[in-house]
Amino acid sequence: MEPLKLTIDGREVTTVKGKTVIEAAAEAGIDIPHYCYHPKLPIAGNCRMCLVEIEKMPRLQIACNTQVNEGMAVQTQSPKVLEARRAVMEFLLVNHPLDCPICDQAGECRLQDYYMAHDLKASRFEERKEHDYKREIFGPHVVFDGERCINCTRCVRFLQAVTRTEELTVVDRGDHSTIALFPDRVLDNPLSANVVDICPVGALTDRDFRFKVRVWYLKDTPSICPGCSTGCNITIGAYQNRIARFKPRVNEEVNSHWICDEGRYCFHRLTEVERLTSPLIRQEGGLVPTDWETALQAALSGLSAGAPLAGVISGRNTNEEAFLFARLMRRISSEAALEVFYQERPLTEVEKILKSPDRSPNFRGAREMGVISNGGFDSWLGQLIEGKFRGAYIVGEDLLSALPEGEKIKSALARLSFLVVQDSHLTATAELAHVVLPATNFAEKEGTYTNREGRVQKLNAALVPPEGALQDWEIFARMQREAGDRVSYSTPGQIFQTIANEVPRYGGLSYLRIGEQGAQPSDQT
Amino acid sequence: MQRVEKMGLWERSYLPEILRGLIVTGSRFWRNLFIHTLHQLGLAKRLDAAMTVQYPDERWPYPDTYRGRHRLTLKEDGAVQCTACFLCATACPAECIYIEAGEYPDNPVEKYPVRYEIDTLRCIYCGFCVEACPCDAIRMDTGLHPANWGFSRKDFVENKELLMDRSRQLEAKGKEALYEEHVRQYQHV
Repeated sequence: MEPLKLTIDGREVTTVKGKTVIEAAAEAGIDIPHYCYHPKLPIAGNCRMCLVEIEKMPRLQIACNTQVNEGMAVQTQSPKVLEARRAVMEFLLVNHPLDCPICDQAGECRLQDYYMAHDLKASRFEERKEHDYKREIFGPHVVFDGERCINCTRCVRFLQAVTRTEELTVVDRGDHSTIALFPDRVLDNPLSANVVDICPVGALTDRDFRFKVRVWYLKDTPSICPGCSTGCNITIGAYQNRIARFKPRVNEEVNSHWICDEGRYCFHRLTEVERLTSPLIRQEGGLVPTDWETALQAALSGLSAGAPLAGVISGRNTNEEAFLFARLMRRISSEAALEVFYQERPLTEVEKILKSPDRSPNFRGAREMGVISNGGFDSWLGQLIEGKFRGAYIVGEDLLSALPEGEKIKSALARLSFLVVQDSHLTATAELAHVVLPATNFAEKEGTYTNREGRVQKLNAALVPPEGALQDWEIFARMQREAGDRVSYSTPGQIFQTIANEVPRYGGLSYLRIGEQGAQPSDQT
Repeated sequence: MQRVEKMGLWERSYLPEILRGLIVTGSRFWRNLFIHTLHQLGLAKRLDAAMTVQYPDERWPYPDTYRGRHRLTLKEDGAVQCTACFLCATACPAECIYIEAGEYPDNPVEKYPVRYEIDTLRCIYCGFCVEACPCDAIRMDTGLHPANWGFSRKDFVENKELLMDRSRQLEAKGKEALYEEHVRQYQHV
């Protein structure tokens, strides 16, 4: 890595040999307009938008495929460059339809952005626009509009270089040139919807998000995908207190620029449920609504009399919640068998690019917070089915529906002397409970997840929880207070401070240090 | 700065000023009553009474740019022109437009509003929605006054069907007749 210096727009930039001009500029915070260039894809150099003027070179060069040299002087805003870019824009827009009102990309479209920045004049094109495929279904998640496509081939290169599934290619020549599926292929690989994110225009759009909401209405919240323990960084786009979409958020240490389709759409199953809005308590005949005071007292006294006690927490609960859960359960019964829900499933080769085999994004964190017993989840489940426990506290997971042993679990739970279920909605498991406590889902929480690799990352609340539900940590804290302990947390951040003081691996961490990109504490415990 | 005007002895003695005011209003009142009565009898038409317009029996002509109640324009086949692009809702300073977009299964336009509602209690009739619309799908050229009576808040929410129907009625009856009908409704309240 040989360091070298060059100037971009008169600014001296230090970089290393082998980088391209566009990369060196990006490092220096100078954005060179581009469509086909993507930092994680092979260079194609076909959009011609990133043209820059380089001293002593007779013609304009494309910044994405020109390597830096010592002493190079680059101009990205000279009159010659601006004129060239304007001409490129004009060509790209020749056959582009005026679809903006019905195009989901509008608002985050590179064509719109660069048009506003460079062109701003009416079309000189008087001939008939070339028409192409509209609304071509490419796969379960992706729909293609050929007229909007600028043939940057980002999607084609993504499917060649990242997933290696190669469903798409460029066909035909000239202005008939378009993107198409290979015969008898469907764009259905486990990462397929990423092509929508990398499409710089509205040619590829998301069938799930299609026409739901205009992007400028979305309230974006940086968060972590709750799909599995890879812990992909995402941005939650919410509208009217509902999640409209997940978008990947760049984190080179975890997911780079991508997320998998399963993670991308998992919010439907996790948030689109009929929510519980008050605690329920079992009386003759069934579960009836009650107030929090009564419910918490009943839960606490029932669990206290329920030893040997079992507790299971969902892998979607945060470190802060797992920490309080472990404390509470050990306070009630020091022998309590605690576990975090963990199930593995087989993955295909393409899935392995991002996915982890579990569905518990924070199983590692929960274990580190003390939600751990000898033998792991499967042995814990075995003991539950054998009837080793008398009382149980199940948090955030519908054991009956999530596991193949559903029937056995059902009879085991029915035999318990006392069962508390805490979840966002009335699950099949909750229907067996003596006390049901309404809690929040991942999108309503603030807290941290620790991914499979041990990286601590922060979740932020994107939605407002329904009235009547409480945050999981709040429920644990109130119950602990009910048990006579002094607990004075008022935010998850305060709980995390306690964690940083008490769990050695988390020493020195704070929400500030975790930031938006997460932090990898050392593994020495 | 002197905020309170100092009153002299004459003002402070109260009654003379009260009487002077009563004389001004009283004389205008009797004069108007007298001339209006003459007008009713068909006399002294050239003499002007008060400038009041006897709405709704008589009214001034509205300019063409008058921003009346909204309507959603229609295509030739009678379908709604709107493509649910949300630009009106985005431009709206009162946030009174609610749209829910849907997809035509087989139509090149692809997108249409499943729901389109204007909460006229919030609407300030500024006309930004009309200006923002790229498809000329919403207009305020009906010349009708905003609704000013109803029995619940729901009565003031104008939905897609009503807004489309207004276009059909305008087409069928014309602006004048539509207005007459509208005014007659008022008179029967």
